[in-house]
Amino acid sequence: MLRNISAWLCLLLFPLDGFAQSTETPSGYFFNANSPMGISASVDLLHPASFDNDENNRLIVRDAELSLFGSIDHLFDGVLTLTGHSEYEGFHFEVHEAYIGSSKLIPRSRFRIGKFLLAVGRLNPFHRHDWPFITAPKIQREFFNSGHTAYDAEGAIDTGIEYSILLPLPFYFDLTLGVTNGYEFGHSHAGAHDHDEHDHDHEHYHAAHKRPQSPLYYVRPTFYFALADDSGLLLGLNYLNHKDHAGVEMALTGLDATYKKREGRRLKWLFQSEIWHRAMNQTPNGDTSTIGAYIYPQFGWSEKIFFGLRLDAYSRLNGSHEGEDKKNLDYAFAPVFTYKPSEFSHLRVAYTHEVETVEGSDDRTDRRLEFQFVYFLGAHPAHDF
Amino acid sequence: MKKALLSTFTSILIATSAAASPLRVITTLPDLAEMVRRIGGEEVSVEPLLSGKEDAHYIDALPVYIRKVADADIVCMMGLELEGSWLPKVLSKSGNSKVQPGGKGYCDAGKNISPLGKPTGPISRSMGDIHPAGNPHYNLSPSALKKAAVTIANILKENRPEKAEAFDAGLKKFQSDMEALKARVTATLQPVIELSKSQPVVVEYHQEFSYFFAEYGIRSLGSIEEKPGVPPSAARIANVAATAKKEGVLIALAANHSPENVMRRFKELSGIEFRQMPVAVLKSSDENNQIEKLQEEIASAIINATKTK
Repeated sequence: MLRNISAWLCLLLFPLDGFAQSTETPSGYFFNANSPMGISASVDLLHPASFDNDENNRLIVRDAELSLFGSIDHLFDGVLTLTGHSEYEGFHFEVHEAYIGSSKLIPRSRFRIGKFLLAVGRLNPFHRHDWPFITAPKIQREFFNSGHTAYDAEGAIDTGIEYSILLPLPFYFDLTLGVTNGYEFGHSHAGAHDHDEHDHDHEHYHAAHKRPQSPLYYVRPTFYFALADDSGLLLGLNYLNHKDHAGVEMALTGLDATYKKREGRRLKWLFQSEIWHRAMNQTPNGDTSTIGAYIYPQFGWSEKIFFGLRLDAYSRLNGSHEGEDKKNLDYAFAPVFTYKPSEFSHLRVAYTHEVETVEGSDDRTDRRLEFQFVYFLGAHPAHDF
Repeated sequence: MKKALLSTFTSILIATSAAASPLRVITTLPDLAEMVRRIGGEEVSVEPLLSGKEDAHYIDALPVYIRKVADADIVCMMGLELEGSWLPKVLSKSGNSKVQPGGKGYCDAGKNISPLGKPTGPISRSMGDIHPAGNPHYNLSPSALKKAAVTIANILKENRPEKAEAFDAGLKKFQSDMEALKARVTATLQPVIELSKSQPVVVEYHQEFSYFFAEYGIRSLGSIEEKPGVPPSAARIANVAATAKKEGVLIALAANHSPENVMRRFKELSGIEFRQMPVAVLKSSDENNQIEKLQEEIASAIINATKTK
């Protein structure tokens, strides 16, 4: 199977050089709208080095991704992204994105139909290699994608339709509505890690690929405040609802904020934060209420060198832990260093210190260093804010 | 029947008011905004997205740009892929079909100019941020601006054919202004043009002044950057500084957004003064002669260098 996929990838990649030449641009080989199609490949190499559990301390190809994108005709655009992940049983490719969309049919609107990264929250819409840190904060892996360690978790993916409209107002107000079938939301890449058998909330995610009792739906209004020519703040409000095959209903409510200040080529400041609340009904543990957040300030020392610090917090407000209702707080801090020689590669090092505290129990600590190298080949779509 | 009449009346009203209101034009650089204003006159309302201080290669697709583009009849860009890292996202997210590639309001002002520095052989990323379509910084060349102005006028005429005469008049005036500018700056730079026959007189950090040098016959040593978009190594700076000193270069020019520490190091090693200055018209001014003022400022910086040498 792997051999077949490799051969297929080779065939697809064969014309890459030709495309790269026709799509290169001054600020870095971005996709040229006049080209028939963009081809982009990316690789995310990761070496975790945990001080507390050395089981996964090895260099892995966390992701290898091949993306094709461009205009289908005068009205529609299309995207196909194949992504391979290192998993327990080996390396597996899957279709991560396959959608048709248009921003030309309905004034001030765009839509897409197919399989895609859900445009809800800040991290979800971005491919993991475009995040400003290496691994997902706890809320991301608990609420959206059931990677059982921070290494696995990525953006939420599902299949359905998403519609966005930019409202005709004197300020930026973009509204996104999505309805998906809910089959793949929270899907897990069963990584080479032990599952947290004690976390019954994960039951919800293990149920992926079974017929949900109702479609997943979400809504996200976003507002942008231009603070100066070179800086601005994007705020997003989010609501997502999902009822799985067993009737477990989950409602996620969240706020995300992103601030950027750019000086010339240098992204001088980035502040990124999300806070989410999850209410779940009818779980094996009864009704649960959980809240989590992260904040990530990053300073650009130069156009190539960045220092960031992520702070995470996560707590069950009610509901049980191993059958008992106990006070709890999980927290983490993660300093991150990034060296970015160009738009098309970066080297990142992070130290993550995660602590799980539960009333009456010993703290569980996970301390690890992470080394990441990401590179891109071929064209790259233009950047979002 | 009543409904049909009402609908017809509403349609006519909308069509009439649309025809009467100025064309809403959004440009990337303020230079293009000034050109549109000078060609379109009262028939256009124009606003640039950028302030003129940024490095137009490295911009995020800011939501505020998306909102402005959503309301535009025309979006004008420098082209030659200068805005390739951010503008496609802005156009697409605006949901405005008029201004997307192939639309009536998609204005690629650079499509008919003769670009400098167009690579002829195979290129790859190992060569830095190579411009496959050629150098896009043509806004410092009156001749290139004349050609870009034709493209802009054609787009305006296509969108508002009944005002073609006014746009043609605006185009003619702009082209004549550019000819006058060229004559004026050429006269100012005459001593440097003469000196250029025997030696290089300028060096630039990035190839943002190349069109200016080519237009006025000023010989340049080249760029301090070894590869476009890649900050030069210490060895490269030292090498260019030694050559520039030996060849008698008068001044080094760099955009305001270029790294000042590199320019300072160049000066330390070569003893040659540098000047950081705008390479685009600034958004803060609505005066219709900023294109001229910018080129005259560059000419003045070069001429002053001959006096202090």
